[in-house]
Amino acid sequence: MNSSRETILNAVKKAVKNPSHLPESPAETENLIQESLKAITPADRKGLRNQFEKELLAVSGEFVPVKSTGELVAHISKDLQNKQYRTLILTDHKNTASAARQLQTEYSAINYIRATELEADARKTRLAFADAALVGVDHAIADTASLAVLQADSDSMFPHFLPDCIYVIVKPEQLIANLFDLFTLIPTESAKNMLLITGPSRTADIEKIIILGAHGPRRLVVYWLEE
Amino acid sequence: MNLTPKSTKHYIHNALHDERLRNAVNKATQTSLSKSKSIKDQIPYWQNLRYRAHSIKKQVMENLDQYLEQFEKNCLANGIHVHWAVDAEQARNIILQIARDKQAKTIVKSKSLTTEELHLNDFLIENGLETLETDLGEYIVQLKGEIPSHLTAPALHLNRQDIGKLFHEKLGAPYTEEPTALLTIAREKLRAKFLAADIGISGVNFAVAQAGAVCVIENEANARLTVGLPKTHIAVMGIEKIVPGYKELATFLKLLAPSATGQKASVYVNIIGGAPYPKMHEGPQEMHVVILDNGRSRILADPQLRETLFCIRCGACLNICPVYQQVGGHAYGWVYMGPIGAALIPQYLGEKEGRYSPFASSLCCACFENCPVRINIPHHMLKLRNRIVDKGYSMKIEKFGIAAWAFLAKHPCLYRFATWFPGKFQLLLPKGMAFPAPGYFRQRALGLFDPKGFRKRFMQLQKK
Repeated sequence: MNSSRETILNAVKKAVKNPSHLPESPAETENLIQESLKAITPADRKGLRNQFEKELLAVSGEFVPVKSTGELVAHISKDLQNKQYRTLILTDHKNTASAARQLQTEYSAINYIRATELEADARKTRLAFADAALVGVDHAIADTASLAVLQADSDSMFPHFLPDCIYVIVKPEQLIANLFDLFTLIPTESAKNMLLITGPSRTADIEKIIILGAHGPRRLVVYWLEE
Repeated sequence: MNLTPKSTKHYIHNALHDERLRNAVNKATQTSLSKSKSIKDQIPYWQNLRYRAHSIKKQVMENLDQYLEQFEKNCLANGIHVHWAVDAEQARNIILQIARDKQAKTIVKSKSLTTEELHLNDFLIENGLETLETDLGEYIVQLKGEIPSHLTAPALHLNRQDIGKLFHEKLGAPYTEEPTALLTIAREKLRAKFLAADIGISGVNFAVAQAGAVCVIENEANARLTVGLPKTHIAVMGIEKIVPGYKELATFLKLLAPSATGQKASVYVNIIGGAPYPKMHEGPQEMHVVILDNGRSRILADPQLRETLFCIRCGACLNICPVYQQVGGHAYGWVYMGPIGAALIPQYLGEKEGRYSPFASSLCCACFENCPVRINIPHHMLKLRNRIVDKGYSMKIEKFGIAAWAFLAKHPCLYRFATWFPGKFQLLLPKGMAFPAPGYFRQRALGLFDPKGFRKRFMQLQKK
């Protein structure tokens, strides 16, 4: 225990003894929030999916619905070719395993790097200049088009924010209505290291003009895999 | 920092005479307001969420000691080193010591007003550490040798030509005023620094007591790179940043982005709760949290002004403030600016030093209406004005003005004459020329008085 800690905590303890008499919130606040949330949340899965798509497009993300892993692989291959990407980072996320295997077999005109096979320092350097990554996420949030990634020691987080473009595979069962539901769903312990991503990286620091790809990915492509 | 009358007047005078600055500030604030409004209009529970946020903050502040202890306990359980700093000097020394222990050479920083409050960059640079801001706006103002002029848009006062010239002079880049090209220059310079950095320093938007984790919110991914690439992460937070748990965090996340940048959600919400990853060696391998008081417990002890600690630094009050829109952030002379800055400056720096700040307001209450946490900023500014006047720190001219008004108010005949005279005197002046008001004129036009005089005009209006 250091003395600064005691000094601060004692000062705080003394300070909070004086009540502030600030006004209380109206009693109906919580009910009104719940009613509003209910009213604006789509009632079915299709509605949530449409909301997610709309919100993703509004934040400059790209939305590609696919019916099978084969269709997904064909689309990514074409995109890699069109954009002339030369490196694709692969992760060990369960959503991406099958697509990654198929891509490596069917499209050989690119350099594949498995993030988890590199040492941490080398991983950092290689990924910092990579063109694209294929990643999975743990949850998708419909009302803001946010993607939640829970950090685990079995996979790398770098592919989510270092390359220029990220391809994200989202499955319908991962979709939840809003942020309030997310934090109700995830246990505190699991949310302790988490990243929420909403669209490509951006800045408006020059005359409030939005420019994508500030320090993170310029593109965020969501593959909605409805197998 | 010494906010003397001379320096305050100098800041305001310069701002009011700088047409380019006023245009830049006006354009930026109007853009932010319009974006913010369009997002808030899509959230039907917005007003109720503001009530909820206020209620959470009130509850947290009244039990802050318990939440701080809970936060510390959970941080320690997560393997985070917790440091307590009574003042800025102690916080700076703690951070320097960590850097020395790690034999650090390069430090990258993400945007943090708390570290601005500590003047941390200058201190670390003076001690031989290369310290770089990485948020684009912060990087620009650091290169220019300035402090931020807005809580969330630090380079809001500069236009693309200013930035083009700056990058040309300081970075040797070919002159360009094309925003994407300017960003590319900064991104390339900084990416190399991210990879080489030994330590990343961030601020903290919210500290989650139940989890022992900190939350850092941003759009650029520079904070992610700051906390995720260097081996050591130092998070600097004021004691007021606590939220009880994730449920409460969700409320503030919902409020912050629409208020700050007119987005439904910020691009990156980083939640960092220590726990090194021994297999992947990712994220910070060592994490430190510096919990700073630096005057906050003194504000907490004042029940009348405690509410000013509820601020989540979104900048919404700045964007809507008619005074800020005219003078920009540097006119306030310290790291916190706008209406909330005007209320915080005398509390942090003392009522004597910050005696001019609460008067930089028209008390129109727009800041209160726009604050996502419902802080009654005008009420606090009035309270501070009251104290400043009571302690005799107000300007002589104001004292004279109030004394003159009090005298006239006690003598109705003289009062009647005083309100009648300007309108009549004005008739003697060339047509269209307003009543002379030295000093006032220089920056604005004084309206014409009604020749009938105030009382007559007022009675006529009442009859209507």
